[in-house]
Amino acid sequence: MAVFKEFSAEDVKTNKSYLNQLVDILGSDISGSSTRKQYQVFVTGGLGPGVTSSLFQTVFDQDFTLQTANAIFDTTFGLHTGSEVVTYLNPTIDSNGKYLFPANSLMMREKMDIYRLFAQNLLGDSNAMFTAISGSTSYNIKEAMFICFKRLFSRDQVKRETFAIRYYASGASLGAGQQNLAKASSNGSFILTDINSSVNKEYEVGGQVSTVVDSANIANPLGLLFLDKGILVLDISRSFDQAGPISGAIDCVTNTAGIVTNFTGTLKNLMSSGSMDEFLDHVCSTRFTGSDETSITFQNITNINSTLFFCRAGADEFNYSSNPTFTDENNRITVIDPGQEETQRTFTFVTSIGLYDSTDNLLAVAKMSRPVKKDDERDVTFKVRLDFVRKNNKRKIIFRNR
Amino acid sequence: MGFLQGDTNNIILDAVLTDTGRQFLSKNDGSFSVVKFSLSDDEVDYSIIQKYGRTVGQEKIEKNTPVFEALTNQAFAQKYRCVSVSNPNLIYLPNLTLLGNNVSNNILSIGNTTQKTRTVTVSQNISNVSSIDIELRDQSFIVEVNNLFLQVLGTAPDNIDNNLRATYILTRDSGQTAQGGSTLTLNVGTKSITDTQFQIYGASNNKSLITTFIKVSGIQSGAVLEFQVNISSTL
Repeated sequence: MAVFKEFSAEDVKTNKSYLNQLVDILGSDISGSSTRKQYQVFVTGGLGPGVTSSLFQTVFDQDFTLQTANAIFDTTFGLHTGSEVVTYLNPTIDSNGKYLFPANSLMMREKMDIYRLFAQNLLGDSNAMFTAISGSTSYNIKEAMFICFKRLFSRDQVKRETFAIRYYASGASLGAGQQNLAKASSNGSFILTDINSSVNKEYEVGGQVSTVVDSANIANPLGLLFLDKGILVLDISRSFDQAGPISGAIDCVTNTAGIVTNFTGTLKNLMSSGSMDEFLDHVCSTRFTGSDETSITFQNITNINSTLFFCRAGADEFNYSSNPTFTDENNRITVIDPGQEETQRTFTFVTSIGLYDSTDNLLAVAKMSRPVKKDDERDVTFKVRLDFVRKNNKRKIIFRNR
Repeated sequence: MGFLQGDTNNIILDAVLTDTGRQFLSKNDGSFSVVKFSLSDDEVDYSIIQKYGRTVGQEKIEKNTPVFEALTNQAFAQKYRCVSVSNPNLIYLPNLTLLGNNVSNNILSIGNTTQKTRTVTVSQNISNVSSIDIELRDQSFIVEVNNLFLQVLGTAPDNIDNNLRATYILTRDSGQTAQGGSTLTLNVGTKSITDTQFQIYGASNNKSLITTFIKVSGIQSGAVLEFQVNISSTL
């Protein structure tokens, strides 16, 4: 066919490549109330007006009420049954296995369920406990903060040894009569990283895992990063200061009209007394910088499966055109000067390539950034690459060989 | 649809699956199968060569022709295809002309009541040459019509895309022109167009008239003929 050329077997190749993108998450996005969304699906029953809380919060890259906002990660926290936060409250267990906690705690069963959810998915056993290991040092993670990066940012996986998170381990300093539950801190700056994970490639039920360590003391493991799932598991009790005082107003269940009470205690106390929103609000709004500095960074990996089509236009092919300006009103080819018919040959300027099926359906089209000359002295090969990436099945072609 | 950035030395290709390509992929039945390619030059104005000569004209085309981004609508993504002919010495190329009793200024008039069918002929023509190069004689044609309003009678469309554009692949007539060119006789009919459709799709100044287009492409010559069809509710 004169306007089509069929591909031969050697003209079509498939290959696989990888794309890395750098993701920077600003502290102000994590700490800001307009960029962190709550989903208040939990409501206490029984006494009083009740307390509502999320089971997780989502951090966006801008005001989440805007349609252009992208969700960056979901965050929540959970408690293992062996956690001191749980055992300190001395819960009883009823005949159905349900934990019963004293009245000065809130959402304890939900916090334990969250831990079990992540343990089930990442460790394969809902009763299992996360363990951070660095060399001969290992710690059980009994109180865990989970940061689940959205697929838009983690893509196919997080790249090893590119992850870092910066936060303040201690709460804001307290003056006389002051409250710091919602006060931005600048005490105890910590940077955690998954350094050396390229040479310690470990696997769990949830896929590849890196140990996250204190950048100032890499023998000190403080969390786990599940690379395939894009989930960070942070050891709260060792990553944050547990002794420093925290005070402020938190929601509580009462049989009176008000549901706010004054809280004074440590971060560990807040984990039991506060709702999940209270804890997450405190950590996100006070322990991450409110400025536009980077608080979390990593590189992701996108696996790109590509099909390469080598569109070979031989010297004698595609040198004429059906473009209406290619001929004049007398059907004469305009690119050949009158009287020069013996010496001049036609040429075309190609601007697009169409890929067709056997019944002439145009399946994909590629456009060049500028016209490319084709004449009988040029044997041109256009390399068209169709990438099949996860987000949408389209795209993108990079260059042409001549 | 914007322009591609063309101010770099590298030539970047911007490629997308067309709507049809995505549709075939989603079927998951192997119907997405690329077997051939075609080149086209929709943005190029070759009359620049006449105006500026071959040397300067080529440079102007190459450097001063902005190229549009790739379109996902297969009906418009490749309009004017480049043609391969083994004879490198051609000076004249054939074009397609439209003939028929109800054709005036390349506009076909058709009705929706008593005159619902029309017969037109698309013919390959060439000037100043006694015969059309044998490689350029079209053996079949691709006819594209708006499936909402029109149909080619006596045959079923080979494909109807998501934009309701019906594509027919039709074989040429058995006869030929004096120069050896092919002809294609098209029996065009209107579909049952309702008054409501005339109100929606009719011209703003005349709601009894719907304007649509038929595109005929010669597979061998690559020549394209696109003509207007006026559908009147009163005819």
